[in-house]
Amino acid sequence: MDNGIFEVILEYINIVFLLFTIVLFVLFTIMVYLSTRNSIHYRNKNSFGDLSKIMASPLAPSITIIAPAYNEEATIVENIRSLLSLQYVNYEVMVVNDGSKDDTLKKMIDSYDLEKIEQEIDPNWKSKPIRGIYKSKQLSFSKLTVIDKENGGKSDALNTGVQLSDNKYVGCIDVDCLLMPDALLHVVKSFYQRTQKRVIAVGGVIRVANSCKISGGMLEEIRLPTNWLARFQLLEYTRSFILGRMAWGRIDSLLIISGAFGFFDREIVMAVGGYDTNTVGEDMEIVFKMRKYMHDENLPYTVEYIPDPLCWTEVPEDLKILVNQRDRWARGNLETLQKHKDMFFNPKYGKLGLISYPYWFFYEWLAPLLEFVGFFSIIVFIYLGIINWDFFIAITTTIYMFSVMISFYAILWDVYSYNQYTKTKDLLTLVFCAIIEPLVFHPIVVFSAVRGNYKKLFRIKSGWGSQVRKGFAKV
Amino acid sequence: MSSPKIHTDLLWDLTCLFIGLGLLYFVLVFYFRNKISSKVKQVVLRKRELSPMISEFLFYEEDANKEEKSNYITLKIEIRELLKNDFNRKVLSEVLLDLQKDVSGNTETRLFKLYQDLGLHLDAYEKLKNWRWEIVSKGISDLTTMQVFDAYGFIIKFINDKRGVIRKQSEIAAVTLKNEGINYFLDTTKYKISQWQQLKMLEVIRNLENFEPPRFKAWLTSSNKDVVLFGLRLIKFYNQNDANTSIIQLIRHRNNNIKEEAINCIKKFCILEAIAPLKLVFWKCKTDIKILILDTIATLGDESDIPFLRMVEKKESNFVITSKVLSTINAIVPETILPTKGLEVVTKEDMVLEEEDVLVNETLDHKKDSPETNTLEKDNIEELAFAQESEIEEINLLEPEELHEETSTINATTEIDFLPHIIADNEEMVAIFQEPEMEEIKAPQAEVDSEENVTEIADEMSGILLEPSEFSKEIDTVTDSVEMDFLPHVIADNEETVAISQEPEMEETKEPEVEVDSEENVTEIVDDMSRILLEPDELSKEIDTVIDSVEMDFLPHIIDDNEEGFTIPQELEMEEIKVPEVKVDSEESFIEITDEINKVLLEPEEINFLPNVIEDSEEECIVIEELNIHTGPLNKSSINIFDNNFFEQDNYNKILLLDTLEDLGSAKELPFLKEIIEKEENLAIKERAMEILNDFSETNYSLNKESNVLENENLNEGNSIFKQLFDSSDEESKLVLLDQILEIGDNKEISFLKTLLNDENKAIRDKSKTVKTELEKRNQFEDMDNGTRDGNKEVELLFPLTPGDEMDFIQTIEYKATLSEEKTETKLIIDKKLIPLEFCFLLDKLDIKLPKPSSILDKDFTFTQEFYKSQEASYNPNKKKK
Repeated sequence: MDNGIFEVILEYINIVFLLFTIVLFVLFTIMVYLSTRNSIHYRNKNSFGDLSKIMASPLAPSITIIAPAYNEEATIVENIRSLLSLQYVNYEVMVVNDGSKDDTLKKMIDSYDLEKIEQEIDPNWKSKPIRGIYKSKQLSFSKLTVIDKENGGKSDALNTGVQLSDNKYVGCIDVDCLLMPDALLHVVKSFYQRTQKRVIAVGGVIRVANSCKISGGMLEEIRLPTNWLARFQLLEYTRSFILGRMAWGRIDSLLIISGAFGFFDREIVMAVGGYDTNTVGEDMEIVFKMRKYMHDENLPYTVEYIPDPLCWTEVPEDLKILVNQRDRWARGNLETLQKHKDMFFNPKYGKLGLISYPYWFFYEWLAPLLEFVGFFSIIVFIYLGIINWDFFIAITTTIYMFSVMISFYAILWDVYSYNQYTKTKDLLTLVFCAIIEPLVFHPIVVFSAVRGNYKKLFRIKSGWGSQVRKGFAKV
Repeated sequence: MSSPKIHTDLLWDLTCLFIGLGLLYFVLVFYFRNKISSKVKQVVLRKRELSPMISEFLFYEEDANKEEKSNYITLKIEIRELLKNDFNRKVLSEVLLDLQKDVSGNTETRLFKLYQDLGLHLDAYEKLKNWRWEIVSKGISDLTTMQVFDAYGFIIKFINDKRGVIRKQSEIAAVTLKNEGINYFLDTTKYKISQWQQLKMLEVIRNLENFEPPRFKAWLTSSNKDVVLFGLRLIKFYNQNDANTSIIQLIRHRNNNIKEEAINCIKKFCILEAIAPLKLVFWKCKTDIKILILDTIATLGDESDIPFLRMVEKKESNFVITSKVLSTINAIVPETILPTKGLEVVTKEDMVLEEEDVLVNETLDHKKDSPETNTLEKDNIEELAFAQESEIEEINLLEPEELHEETSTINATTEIDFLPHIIADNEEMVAIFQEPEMEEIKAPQAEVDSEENVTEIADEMSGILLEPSEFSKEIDTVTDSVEMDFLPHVIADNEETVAISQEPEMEETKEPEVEVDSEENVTEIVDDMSRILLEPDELSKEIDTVIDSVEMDFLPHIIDDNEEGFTIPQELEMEEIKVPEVKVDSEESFIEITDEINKVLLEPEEINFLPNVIEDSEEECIVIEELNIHTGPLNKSSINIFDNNFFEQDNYNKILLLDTLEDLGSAKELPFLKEIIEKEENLAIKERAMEILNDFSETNYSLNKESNVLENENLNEGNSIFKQLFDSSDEESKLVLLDQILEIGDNKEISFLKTLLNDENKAIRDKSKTVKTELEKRNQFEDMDNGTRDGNKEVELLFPLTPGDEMDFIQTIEYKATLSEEKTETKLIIDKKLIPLEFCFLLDKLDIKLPKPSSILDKDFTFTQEFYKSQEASYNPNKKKK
């Protein structure tokens, strides 16, 4: 009798796993469809027209690019130079030195001939104290503003920048990112092209710059990373940005804009109180918050997503740094979902409450935990000799093949849309990465996510971690 | 109890499906990669084939010879054959569309003509019939880009198309293809116009040739909000200020963008009538609009808006708005709001020290001539300064009556060795600077908040300043017994700040100041100031009572100019005396002052008592006053004080003025003196002017010579444009910069390069050395080249050459000599730098490569003598002129 019940329970567990997997397949298939349609539409829509003509228009809106910098002395000068050479007239580069312990500030002052200026600051604004605001004495660097403040984290630095900016739009980027010269033109277009809805935020694709040839702040040659970890991440980014976010963008349910390249309507950012300084997933949290605000205010809005490769960044090549990064992402995810739990299946928030939030809950937060639990369950089942081998092998193979197929599709779509890795060797390497990724890279990601959740749930103090940048100039 | 059975076969089926799809995608990855690459290659090949034909067409001249004409016709036939292939048509169309971005003027017109001659526009017309929106849009875009004006009628049908991209393309086309297109578009469009679309259309319109903008006010009444918004933007862009009433109405629009744009127009066109409506709508606006309104009030407002601004300041809680309000108030009435943060709080206890401090001050005055006591005095005076500051700060806290009593006490017991500087703006701050006698004295600073007190002080000060004649009488009566070690400057500024720096000898002396900070009382204070300024009799009486024991060794300067800043050089009897300043901003006061100045200028004997009055009613003015001016090059913006009055004087006065000018003037008067010499009829005056001119010229020459030497040194040594860039670059950039120096640098860079020879970095050191050598060599060649062209056979070597260099150099000289001697037989290879830039772009675009000269002596074809002459002339424009 007991054995019979136990077997039934086991069968039901299998069914639950099967349903979960089938829903995942369905969702991914829908996402592939949506992203494909969105990509084609985007390409057709933008296949003609010259953006550069708009560059100096008197109607072009003003933008502030806020780049928080913490201990970036190795690359800061080069990175700022790159930011100052964008093709746009009406913009400002605001570098917020978040209490760096190294010579970041000194390097900026020396290289860009900065001098301290006086500016009144809202005494009620909750940010760490500002030690000084600097502008360059040279006209050629007049677009540059450097804020020196006490250390308060990335969110705090971004909030300071948002507060001190007086432009209509603010771009929050990582200072070590490399923006394409026409990036701002694309951003402005995205903000300005809607008539029915207000565009509150614009996000874009982040591409992997490891091993690329970069000179004078400009991307000269796109190359496949030489490091295997970076290659796996490249594949992961391609899948995530070209398929995932493109699909969410298609149904206007994008819930995350990468912290490395995100532009916002400053008025709305201020209205929601800026970034949350108590979370490490500030980039996701602010989009949740802004969307929620617009829903609450009953204002028509949208979040735009640009699939063009406009922002290039270095990804971690060291396993420890990678694990820390993913750990942080997992914590950020959990914190954000926790903070906005009232949106969970809440019809008041439309697609956001009924589709996006649940997806994030089940497939971004819960899935790694389930995988982890599943892995140990299988070991236990094998040990107990109660495993249904037929089902186990079948479902594992199906999931594996599905994952490989999706990666292949991402590579295909990348080639079709942008054709950036043209060498046969590069393509074969990517294909090989797609085949071994579920076995090699994915477990690392799952482990990091579990670790992050563990830390969060058991309140183990953990911050941002750090990443040692090689710097583009030295690539 | 049983559970539903799971059919694992289904899973295996799915696995097979995924494997199949995976393989398909794998194949497709390479298929698309190859397809895209081969297509790109094909297009490049075809472009290479078609490009020379296009360039032939584009640069074909009607007056070509028979052979060329025949070639042209053959080419036409050939290209028409090629165009029978769809792929070729597509590629050619692409080539022309690409080329259009890079050509302009006549070439562009030919390009458009060629596009239609080849019938490519018919393909675009065909696209318009397609059912797919992207193809229709492409067709419209092609016709617009290639300016097929006949397509206008076909395209405007799409202006209200329900498919957004087609609609947007047709809107752009309508505006581009016909100047009246904008009217049609604004009249007929039913859909919303995105900001991006407006931006693009404005870009098109502003680049249209011979475009006569319609009066856009006609569309301000449109029911389409976006048309209204775009209309406003166009009104602003084309400065059409004939729609003021409509614009004022639109500030009440519900749409924030329209409201914002209307306010922008109001600000731009200075529509004063809009201030009241702006104030009315202010409260309902969101933060951005509020700030914009405040900004507009700051530009257009006047004192009557201050109460409103005060109200906003009180009611608004948003820091950004309150901050903006304060800056607005200050913009209307400068320095109404003064800094309040970080100021010391003064207690009443400090007041106890008051009398002692005054006594110390008195003692110091008596002892000041004794060198032994200087150090001690300095310390004491610093303490005193602090005490005085405290005292005056304390005064701020007192009631007006108390303050009056206090002041009387001070006056009765103290020798007043100062004359405060008064800065009076229309309705704002009055600052009074005290003048201590000794150098390096940190003078006390006082803030007076009480209306009455300020009035008192202002009474006393203004009188002194505004009635020079009476004032001088007063001084006459007191100078016997009083030392007046001060010299007030009066600076009047109706709207903006006037900064004065003066008396270099007294740089270390800080002036005491009394600031009036009471906001409520500002208006009354200024009224009082104005009244006082207009009542000199009362003022002089006041002075009588104030200056009982004052030494009055001052010499006021008066400078008056309504529009611009200027400088007066003036010799003072006591150079070490710090001259106090008085700023007078009241308009009425200014008129008075100006009158007085004019009066005084007509009475040269009184000139020694003139205060410095610098007035600027419209622009910010910075006046640098020096007691002993020995100027270098003349400042063009400076205006001679004597200009306005000189020619209106009688001869006697003219001579007197010239005498004064000789005493007080400097090289800055040279233009004025020249003018006198030119215009003056009286010989004696002319001679006198010449005499002064000679004196000043000598001084000026010596100074100019010195400054020229310095300038030349700077030019030769310090002015490398690369230096600044170099200093702020990293190693890699520095190396790149050195390459640039080699490419475009000249002699100026040599000295800079020399400095780099000692650089810490070896790579930079080595590279600098190489670049320097190369640059020197090149400069020698260039010099030689110039010398040869000018017919100068003697070429001086500026830099020593290495033996190898010498050989090259000799070869070059020989070559140049051959060129000059055998012009008729000279053969040159065509170089890109000799052909028009546009043609270069075209060649690059079409991927046509000219044969590179393998060596300088390569000779591919022969030029005629005329060609050589024209080349020579273009090298040497001077020769051409001759």
